[in-house]
Amino acid sequence: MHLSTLLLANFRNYNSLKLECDEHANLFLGSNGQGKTNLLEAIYYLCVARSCREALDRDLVIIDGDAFLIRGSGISSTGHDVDLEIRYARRTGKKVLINGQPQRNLSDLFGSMTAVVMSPDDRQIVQGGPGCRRRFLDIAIAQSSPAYLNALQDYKRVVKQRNETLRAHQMRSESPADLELWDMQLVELGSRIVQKRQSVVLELEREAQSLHGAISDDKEELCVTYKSSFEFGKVDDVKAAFIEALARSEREERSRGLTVVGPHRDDLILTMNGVNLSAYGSQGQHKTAATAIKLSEALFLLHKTHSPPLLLLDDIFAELDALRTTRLIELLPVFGQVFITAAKESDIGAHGDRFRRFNVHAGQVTRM
Amino acid sequence: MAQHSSQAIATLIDELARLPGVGKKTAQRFAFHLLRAPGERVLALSEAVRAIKEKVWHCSTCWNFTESEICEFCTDPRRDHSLICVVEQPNDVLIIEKTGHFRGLYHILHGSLSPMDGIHAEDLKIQELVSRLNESVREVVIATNPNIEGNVTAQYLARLIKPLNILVTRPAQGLPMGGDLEYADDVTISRAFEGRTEL
Ligand SMILES: [Zn+2]
Repeated sequence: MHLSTLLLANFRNYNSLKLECDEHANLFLGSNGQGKTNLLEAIYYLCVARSCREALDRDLVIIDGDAFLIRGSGISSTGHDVDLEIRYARRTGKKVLINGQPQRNLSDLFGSMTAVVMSPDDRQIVQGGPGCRRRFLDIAIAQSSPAYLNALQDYKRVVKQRNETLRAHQMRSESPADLELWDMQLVELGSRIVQKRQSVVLELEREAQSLHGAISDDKEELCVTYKSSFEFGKVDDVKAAFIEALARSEREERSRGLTVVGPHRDDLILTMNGVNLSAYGSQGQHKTAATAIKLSEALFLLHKTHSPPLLLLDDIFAELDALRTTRLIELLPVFGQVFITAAKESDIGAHGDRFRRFNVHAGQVTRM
Repeated sequence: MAQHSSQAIATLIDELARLPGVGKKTAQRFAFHLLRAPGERVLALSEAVRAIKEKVWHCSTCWNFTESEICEFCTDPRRDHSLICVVEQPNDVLIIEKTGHFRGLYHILHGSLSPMDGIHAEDLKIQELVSRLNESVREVVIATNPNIEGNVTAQYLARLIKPLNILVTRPAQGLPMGGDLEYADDVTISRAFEGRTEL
């Protein structure tokens, strides 16, 4: 899989851009605020129809504009020529076209091309709240399984509907008869999500452990475990355990008007030699662990889809020491096409000549 | 927005822009088209618009749109009165009718259960459905949309109807999950109706 051309119109600070990408390695150089990150954001958006910076669609439109367009062509994860296009207009919202054909669901886009973005913000996976870790996990799984994305969207809807049902019953003090119907959907979808996450976390952990050893000399063992909001034994027991947990929390749910158990309350626990990283690790450990975990997402997608995701590295080398930088650069050929941003070429050590180099200045990109 | 030289044009554009899928630009195009059109065409349109509010109401049996007390489906002796298909919207009836395979009667709920939109059982034509289920009704097919709300509504109805010893079925999967009937093609809908399963 790779992206050969990228077209932007009215996206962020790009009025209009056409970029011919190298099949393997691309390096974007330029000082801050010139649009390097916006380029990676556009590539990522083309793969998953959302910003990697959690930005709202309307904020991606160029200042004083009404709409933006991102279009890219290349080879898809299944090895076919593909042309992806996403149009967004403030008035009419988002439209996805694959090979010129409008798609009804955004999830239809998922998997055509996959991408993993790495940035200094990744330390949020270690340092941030459970929501950051769930988001990381969900995007990794969704890119390998569009069905998961549909289940997740449905599940979130069921939680909302069920919370409203709980609240409605609070006010009317009736017996919650129709609550049971939402419970069935909650358990059905929620169990599938928990089971999928559980199995993917096992794969991610295996990849992260080997990567952690490869990019640092640390002999410490990184562990990633899935923490469900309810306990279960075997994967087959998830459904029964979910039903039990719901029954146990009935009083709390009814008094709070909230669904308090389920995958929307789950977390990932990261430990280094058995010690909880989020609570105790050093800055250095956090950085290395976050790098290993994000790269494990790329390896996971590579093994799952038999095609390496586009790897988008946003200014991550300035933070890494020379040894880790070299180790990471040496690892890159394992992945497919790479897009790197850096303020100056020396940030990536003496490896610049491996890349097609571009200069990014004020929304203009020129080949060096 | 540009100021219009006539208040009447501005009002028409505002009204047209309220229609689903019609933006300001399209509304302007429609308005200027109407200004150029012959007088009798414009009057025919305005009469047609007025008529739907003066002449059309809901069938007192199935809650579909009709111009009589009871609609042409409910009074048609050639249709199978022991079979009732429950749908969310009047538009769904048109879609199912287009396939020509379903020969029973309809019941329109006018929505699906969605607490987050403030739609509860009492806001739908559910009581009206139950009250028409006499001993001559053999089967109720619940063709609510195959999405979360449609599925929950189907389950809700099944619980209500099954104790009356009436067969309750749902069109087979194969309809695009998460979608609306509106987006399925005729063949898919026909197959889904043929392969309906008991709830
Ligand atoms: Zn009728």
